[in-house]
Amino acid sequence: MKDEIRIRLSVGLIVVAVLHAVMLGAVFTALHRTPAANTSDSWRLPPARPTSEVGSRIQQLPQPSRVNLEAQGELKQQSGYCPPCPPNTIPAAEPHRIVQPYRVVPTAPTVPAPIIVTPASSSTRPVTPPEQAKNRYQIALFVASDAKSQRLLDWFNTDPNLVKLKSKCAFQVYTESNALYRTRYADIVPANQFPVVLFQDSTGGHVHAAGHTMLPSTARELFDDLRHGYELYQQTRQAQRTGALKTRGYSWDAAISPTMQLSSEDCPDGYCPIEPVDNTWRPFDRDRDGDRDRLFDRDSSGRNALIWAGAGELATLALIFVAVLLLGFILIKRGL
Amino acid sequence: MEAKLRTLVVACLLLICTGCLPEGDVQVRSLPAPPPEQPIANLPTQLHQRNWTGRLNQGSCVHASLVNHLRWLNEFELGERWRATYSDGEWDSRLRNRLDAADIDYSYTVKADPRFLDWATATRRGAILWWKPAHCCTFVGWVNRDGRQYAAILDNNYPGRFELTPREQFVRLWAGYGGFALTVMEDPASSLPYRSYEVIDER
Repeated sequence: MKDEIRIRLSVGLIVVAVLHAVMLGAVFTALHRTPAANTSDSWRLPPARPTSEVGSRIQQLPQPSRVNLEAQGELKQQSGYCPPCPPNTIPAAEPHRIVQPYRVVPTAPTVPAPIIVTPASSSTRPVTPPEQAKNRYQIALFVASDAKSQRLLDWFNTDPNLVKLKSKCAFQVYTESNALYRTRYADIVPANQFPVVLFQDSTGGHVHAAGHTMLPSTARELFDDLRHGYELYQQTRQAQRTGALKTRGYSWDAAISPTMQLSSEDCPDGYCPIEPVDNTWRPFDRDRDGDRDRLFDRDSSGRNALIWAGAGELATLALIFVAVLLLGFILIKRGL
Repeated sequence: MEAKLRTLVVACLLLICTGCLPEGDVQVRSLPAPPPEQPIANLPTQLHQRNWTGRLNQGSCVHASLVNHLRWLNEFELGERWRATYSDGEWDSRLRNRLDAADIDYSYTVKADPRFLDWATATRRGAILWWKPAHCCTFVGWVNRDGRQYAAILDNNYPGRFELTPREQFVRLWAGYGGFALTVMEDPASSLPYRSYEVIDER
């Protein structure tokens, strides 16, 4: 009789353990929610599309060879308003339309010594092709006046992780009434999807995009989504650079000489148009430029190690530990 | 007894293994990128500010250029305030003094250094600069065409279009007009977004 009772207790214990295991599994799965990557049918970013060319005619004008100091400090007040102007013509300076310039004596000696303009590169090609020099990320928030939009804005003003990320990116907020939104983004980001978070590179290539119902419920989850998108993006793109802001009223001339090789420390916001010229860089070579260029901290909240587990994961592990202790206690009491 | 022990050990292992879900690897594929937007500071034509005549009957080209520049930086309120406050002619040092007074951060050159314009293009901000006699325009970036590079200029006397000048010629002319350029240190308008990658396998 006694043994029978013991057997029933053990079976019951196993049933409880199985139930416990199932519940823990459900909780853990819920906590490991992976952000859905562009699976929404309601709104998707458009694919790449060709851009139209601008300008139709190349101008040819006379060419002085050095900085004209007389023209530098003069009053700039041309008013060539002539509606309707003929298209694509060089505005001719009509004498009767031009207010004669007068000499203005600057209050402080701001005119530097004259120099001959000598571009760093003697060839006619640019210092660096622009397609190599787009090294910033952008975050754009498209918000309305609803509570969800306001909460999203608050996250980027209060959450330390999002504030830090924002400081490393070009950041803009657009509303439906914003003129830039109406003229540039209205077709791409429909207002009925507001609020929207767009995390993209400087070319517009999306790193992460989420709108309306796809937005998570906490700032932490949004940050994790942005980082997850960044990691996916990094699989297909090279590492990018950001930098710190220089002091106010930055004088390019005082800090940079004509023959100087620019580095990130020399430029107003730590970002120069000149890229490293060597070709040793390879995709996935993320650590080449050190901590300065890392958009996300490496150790903030990784999910692949126990020590970085979030509060939910730690709670799950604690439950498992308690269950094991309980079983051990029962086994000891039964003399096994 | 051994059967019960085995049962309990299995139950313990089952509990211990609970929650050990493997991290799923996500495979992504890069999607083709569109050609870069040209000019890089592509202020929509509807937002081009036309030059206006001030109370001294002078053109306000510097202020109009700055308003265009500020609009590209999504600083509409500041641009409208500037437009309502300042008009007529302007020169470089007074412009900087006024920007300082308005607590607006900026970067500038008076040496016609083309690298300044490279930087203004690379950061997508653009700039205002002395361009054409006694005039100021908005530089909206270098434009590549037929293997050559051209300066794209928004002239506030001719809004609605961009004027192109070959790079080397532009730099020499810019020097002749005084070599001044200035960029406000705010973030530019966001790029036009597109899908840059797609998830092809989530295991």
